Amino acid sequence: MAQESFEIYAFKDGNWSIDSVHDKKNLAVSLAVTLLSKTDKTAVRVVQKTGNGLNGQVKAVIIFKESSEDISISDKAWEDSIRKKKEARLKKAAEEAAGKAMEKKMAVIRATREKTRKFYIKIFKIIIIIGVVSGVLMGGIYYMLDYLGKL
Amino acid sequence: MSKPVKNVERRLVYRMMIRWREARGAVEIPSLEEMSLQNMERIWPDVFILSKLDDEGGPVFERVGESFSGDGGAALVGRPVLDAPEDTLIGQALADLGKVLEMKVPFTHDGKFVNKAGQTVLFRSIIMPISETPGVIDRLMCAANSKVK
Repeated sequence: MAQESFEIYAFKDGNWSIDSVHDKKNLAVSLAVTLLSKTDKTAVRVVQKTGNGLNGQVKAVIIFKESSEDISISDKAWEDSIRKKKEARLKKAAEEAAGKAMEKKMAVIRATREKTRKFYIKIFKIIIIIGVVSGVLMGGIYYMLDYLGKL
Repeated sequence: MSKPVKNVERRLVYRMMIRWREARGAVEIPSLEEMSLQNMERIWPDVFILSKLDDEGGPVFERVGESFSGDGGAALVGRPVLDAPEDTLIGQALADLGKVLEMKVPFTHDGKFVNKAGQTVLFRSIIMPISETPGVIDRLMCAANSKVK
């Protein structure tokens, strides 16, 4: 089921910031209008966000925008803020991808080391067993020869 | 539960939002005192306040308005939010708690639930951050009211 919310954004001194979040469109628009008329904010926007709740994807649409000054100023700042957010998201994704690649590489190295360690332990065990068996055999032979008086 | 008066629900969350903005002034988040000075007399019964937000057991009820007397009311004061039953207005109004703490902005919520008596209840609620120290959310002020469908 789609989840829907309406975020109010306010513009002041060249910066956009989130004001509040609502689940009813009319309330959000009404509060956005009040924000513009009763405070020192010079532009407002209401963004409808719809998430499908399955893969975490969210669709955002501007459903209302108003400005008490030249709207191109806040429009440009909005585009800049979107671009910066996108760049930050891409950078984070790249860092995460690099981190994952490094993690994968480290996992391979760790697995190889573990495999080598197990191999050496196996060899060591075989040597010990051979040593013990040889010792027992030689001791037996020595005992037999001693018993038969061949020594 | 609040009196089922037509359109009161919407006005409550709207008026709370307006008061929160007025109390905020030039700062990012208002203090409890600044909120208290916003002509709250008629709204206090529909308000509950949460504090100790970082406590291990979750936020704790600091104040619960008279309108929530049927939901546990004053008995909830000093107890964690987890103690608020889900089939009550106060329990339902806490739905966006995590989002408010994460985004540090007010959230309003409309919904419905079935109460202990089996009645479908329509409600509106708002959760607003309150700060005594810049950059830190110390409390959450919540307001809610409802009507039986």
